[in-house]
Amino acid sequence: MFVEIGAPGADLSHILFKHPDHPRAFDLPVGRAWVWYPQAGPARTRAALMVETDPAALRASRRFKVSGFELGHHINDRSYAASSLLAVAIARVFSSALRGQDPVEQPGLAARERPLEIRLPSVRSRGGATLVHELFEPLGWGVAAEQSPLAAQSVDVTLTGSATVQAALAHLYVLLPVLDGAKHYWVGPQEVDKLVRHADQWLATHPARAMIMRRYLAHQGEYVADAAERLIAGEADHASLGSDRSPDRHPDQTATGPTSRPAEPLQPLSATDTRPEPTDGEAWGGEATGGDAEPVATQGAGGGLAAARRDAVLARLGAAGARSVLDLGCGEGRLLADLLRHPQFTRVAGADPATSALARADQRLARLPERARDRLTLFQASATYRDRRFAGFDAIVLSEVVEHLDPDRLAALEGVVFAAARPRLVLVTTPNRDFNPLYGLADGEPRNPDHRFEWNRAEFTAWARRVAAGHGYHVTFDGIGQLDPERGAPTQSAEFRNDGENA
Amino acid sequence: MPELEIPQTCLVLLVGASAAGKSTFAARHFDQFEVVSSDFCRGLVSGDPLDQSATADAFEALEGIVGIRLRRGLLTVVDATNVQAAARKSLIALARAHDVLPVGIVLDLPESVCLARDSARERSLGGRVIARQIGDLRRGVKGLGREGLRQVHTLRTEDEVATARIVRVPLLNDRRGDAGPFDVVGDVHGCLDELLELLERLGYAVTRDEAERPVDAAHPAGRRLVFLGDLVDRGPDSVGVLRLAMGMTAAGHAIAVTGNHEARLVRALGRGSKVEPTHGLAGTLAALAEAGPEFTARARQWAYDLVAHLVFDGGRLVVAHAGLKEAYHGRASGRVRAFALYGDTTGESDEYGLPVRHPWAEEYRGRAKVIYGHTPVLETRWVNNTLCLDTGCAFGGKLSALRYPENEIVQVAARRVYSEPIRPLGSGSGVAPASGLARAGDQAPDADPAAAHSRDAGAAPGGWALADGAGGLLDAGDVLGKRVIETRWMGRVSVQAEQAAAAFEVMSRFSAAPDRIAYLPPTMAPVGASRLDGFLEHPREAFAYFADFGVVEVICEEKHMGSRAVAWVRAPGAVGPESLHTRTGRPFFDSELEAEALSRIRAAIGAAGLWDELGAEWLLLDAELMPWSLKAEGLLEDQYRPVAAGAQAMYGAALEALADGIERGLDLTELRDRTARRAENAAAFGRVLERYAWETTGLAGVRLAPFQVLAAGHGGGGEPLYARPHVWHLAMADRLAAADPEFFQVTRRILVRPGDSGSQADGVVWWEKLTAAGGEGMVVKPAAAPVRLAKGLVQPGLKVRGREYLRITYGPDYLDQLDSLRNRSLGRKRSLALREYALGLEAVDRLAAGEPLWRRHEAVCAVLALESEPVDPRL
Repeated sequence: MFVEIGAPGADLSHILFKHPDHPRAFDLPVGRAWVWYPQAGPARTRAALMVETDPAALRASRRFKVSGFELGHHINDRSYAASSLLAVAIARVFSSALRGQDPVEQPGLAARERPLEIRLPSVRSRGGATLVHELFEPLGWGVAAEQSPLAAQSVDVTLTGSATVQAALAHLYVLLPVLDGAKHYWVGPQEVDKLVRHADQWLATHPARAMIMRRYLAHQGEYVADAAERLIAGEADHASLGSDRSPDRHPDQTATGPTSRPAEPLQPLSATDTRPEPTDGEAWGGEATGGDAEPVATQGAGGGLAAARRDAVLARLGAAGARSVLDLGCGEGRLLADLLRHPQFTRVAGADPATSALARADQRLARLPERARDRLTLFQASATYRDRRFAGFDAIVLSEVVEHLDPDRLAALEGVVFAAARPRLVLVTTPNRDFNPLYGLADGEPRNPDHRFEWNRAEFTAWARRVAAGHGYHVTFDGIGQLDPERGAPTQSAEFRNDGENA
Repeated sequence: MPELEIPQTCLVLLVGASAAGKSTFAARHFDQFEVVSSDFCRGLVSGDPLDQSATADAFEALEGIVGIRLRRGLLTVVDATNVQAAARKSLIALARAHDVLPVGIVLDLPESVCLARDSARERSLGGRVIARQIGDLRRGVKGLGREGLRQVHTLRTEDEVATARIVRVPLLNDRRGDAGPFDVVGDVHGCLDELLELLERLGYAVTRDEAERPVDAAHPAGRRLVFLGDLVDRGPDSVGVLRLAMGMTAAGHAIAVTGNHEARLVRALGRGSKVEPTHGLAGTLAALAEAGPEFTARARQWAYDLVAHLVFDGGRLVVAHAGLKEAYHGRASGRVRAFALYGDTTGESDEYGLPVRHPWAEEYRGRAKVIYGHTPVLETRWVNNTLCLDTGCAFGGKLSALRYPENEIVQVAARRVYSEPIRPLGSGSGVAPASGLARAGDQAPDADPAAAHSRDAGAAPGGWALADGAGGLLDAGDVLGKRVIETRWMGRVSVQAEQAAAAFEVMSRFSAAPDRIAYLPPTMAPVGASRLDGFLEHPREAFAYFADFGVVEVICEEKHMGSRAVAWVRAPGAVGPESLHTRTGRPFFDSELEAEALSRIRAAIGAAGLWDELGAEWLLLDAELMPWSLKAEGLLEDQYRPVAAGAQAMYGAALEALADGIERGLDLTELRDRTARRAENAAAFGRVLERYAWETTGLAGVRLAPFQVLAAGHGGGGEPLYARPHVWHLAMADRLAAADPEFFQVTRRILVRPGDSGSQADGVVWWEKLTAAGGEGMVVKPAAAPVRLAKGLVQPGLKVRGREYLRITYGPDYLDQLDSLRNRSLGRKRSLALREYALGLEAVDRLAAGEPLWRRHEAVCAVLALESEPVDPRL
């Protein structure tokens, strides 16, 4: 990691409290930092900070998030690209300057703005050069940012502008981890204090403040709310800061539906959110894009398509008089929570093949009163494997599940649910492809990268009718979400019943 | 001296007052573990065997233990007073729930005896309690049979108790001691001519009576016929078939189980019973009337005495008219009989008014072969170790027999249609096979019985029957939970429940459909760390490793840097699953491109003449697919390229700043030199990386390097080829490359004698050349694998990666850290590699042996499960 700060004149070495003619080394938890002055003179002074990382120490840092790829612990760009590690080095090496401390003999020196040039040859930016512009320009920096032809996340940055050294260092201290989107250490409540200390001058008016807080505080809602409270007290919009996640939100989960579709629905900023193969962060079926995308209560009772889907499922289960319900592909258990709120459902089960999703569902539902929890069972299972635990439910719900299966596995699902488990009622919901153009999706472009297919209304109807006929069910169809006169509703649903045939 | 006969498997209720001597009696006649005593259970749950306040809990424990024993088919004796009907009732229900006969042994001793014994005890219960118990006992004793006890033995004197002997009688269905050989015959339904023809085909000599009527048939080699029931009705000569079957069973030349038609006949011939004379019964009754009352009475008695199912050959063969699920094998109860006669009926009816049956065979997971009839099918077909032999002879189909233990089908065609089926033949049992797989009747006929025979020659030692891959739905229970997989090459391999859960998740969410995954490749261990200066891995260690195991010749194969790929390809026109998937079962391509890749492979196999040469209609190939970037683009993007990019940019700027500082006279030369070296390391890292990444469009740019033909086969079975020498496999691969050089990549190799220093040196030079330019390295394998020594399997291969290549595994600067990296521990990785290897071969063997899908899937999932074991990913 390397950063160089240049300023006219010879003041810089005084402000940084480092002797211009003596290179120095500082021990850090993950390696060693070197400070020297490539240039020091009356005309111009340049201070260089380089961190040599210790690979073993880096590996030992367990908070160092690398998603989905174990080898990432060993092969990564942490030694080279500026990130939270460099922020830590800045705080350690330039602590006085970061506090704005004046040299004893020169009061007022630190508080003076001066033309600065900051060179960061390699910055890790999940959001590429664009994000660098978005973060630094509102703070008055002229930004030159060039993405590496090899890797878009690797950006060569030069910042120019007039600022105090303290402000410049504070900007780097807060924004380098934000660019990276990951911290190498545990984010605890003291991080809110640090953020307030280093950003209280400028964050409240920064247009990307919501994203900055969210990323800096590792998406921990409580801390984000706390920081918002302390930094932006009195501002009307702070209540929504914790949930303003439009860049990461998926169209399928938007609050208001197609008429006000978010500007950038499918390109989440964070690379960890664009997994080609969904890993543990993503539930199979159910709320496929996970907790990050779920609109929170502040967005009103409308609550988006996902909530509308749950409401519709609940209504149909209620109308059918179902008392025992299996949510097959329950994901993180949002529907289960709704089911448990209604005493009509005396036995509720959630099943999903993803153990991590089940663990999160378990956490989520642990907050419910014990009497509600007692009605619930959670277990690992798949809709393509016959399972004796599926037997004996009044209803099985397959909400946003079928589209996550390869088409050649639908026959197995059909056998497992309609022939082997054979409940009185089966509810299936799935995206309506006819509706996709209203999300601005190109032809054939799925709503979620893990969707193996999306059916239009005719295809879904044909499939459902064939299944119903093959297994002695009656099927009826409906739409969920805001109805478009031509394209139907965003979600289509089918209700299969075989009342009276075999209880 | 009373002899008390009890079934070999049963629940024995000892009934008697306290101090009647039950425990003494039980200890004398039964094994210590066969007796579950209420006093003992009271002691277990309360610490005091006489603590009456713990009785409820004690019985809960007792019933729990008894239930488990009965489920496991173990004779169990309940030593409790059992004097009250309520106490007996729940135990009798427990026996019924496990389809085990409940019997009672009553110790009805004079009150004076009990009282005398009681008062002699340290903690006497007292006369009132004993008297009450005896009163209860005597009130209930007459009704014991009505309560459901199938046998009741009563001992009334001390002498009787002292001299009684227990005789354990096998159940009527228990013929485990009889291993055949048998010829099992499906539903005859009065088709005497066809039966006689079949007997002749099977080699039986028929005996006729003075009226030229067949009355017996015997096999010169002592084989016996097993009739699966439904001998009568529908066909032209039910009486003739009965006469022959009765004669054969009487002479010990045949054994029969009852069919539902025999059961109906018995009822129709009984007194006062009303049976609709449908389904051909009227004809049988008329013929019997003609045959006379004496024959009719004998026939009725014969049919009445038939049991519903039989267990042969140490439990390996079960016959029942309509089949039998595993839990019912060797059991006796009304519902076991009903299942054996009518199948697993759901209570629903289909559009023809016939009962809908649950597809029990699809759910069957037992080791015993179950041979049955009842539901006519067009062709016989193994489903999960079960076989239906009713090929609808009376409906104009065929009469079929299975030669056991040869597993050979022998059939004769019906001479005409004797009866019109209510439901078209082969239209299934009314419930569509749940998996959506082809129904029984849709399968292509297994025309050549000899072919079936030869296939079985390579069958599994476990005795799993041949199957054509169809076996219905997989069950979560086939994969989940702690598992122990029996492998041919390594014995038992355990899979922990959490590992199984991880595999289940991957299989459910990301893998191709399970029937398309025949095999998953094992991980491969690297060679031991080299002590040579500047090397972490070096061929010498590999040669030494194999030389130590006495391997005379090894083959060094170029290791391609791509993604491991498994291709399962069928000949033109052959029907069945195909795939091209990764080492975790994920498809490489979307279905369209996959089909294109498969047809490319198919064409090359054809052009190379391998279909004919191997006599195969499918091949299973282990291969490497290039480029690496095809599957690993995400990794390249997120992990690898940022390293190269970041290092290049950062070191460039840093070296400039260092140079400026040095020019100013700062003491930075050491830091500068170190930084310059690291910059060079990072550049080398980048160069290695780009060697393995290139653009592809469709299949253009994609290359496949097969290195093993794992198996070749036909339809549902085949021959494992993995044990052939590697030179053979690579010769096959060369021919594919010759046929389609654009798509197939040749694997370069060299043979080395690890015990010969000159040969070793050649191997080292070869490797050095291969890797100098960044080539991944090589794999050293015993030339003839698998190698199994007394102490177990030898590693099937060790990878020796190139010095430059290792930068992308251990980091750009790894050569600066060699001392610590040499301490890497290989034990876990090697153990894992061997277990996965054995499981992978097991999957291939199960495939080749034609075992059911769930058995193959079990082995495949086990490989995947072991992959979740935490091992250093750099190894």
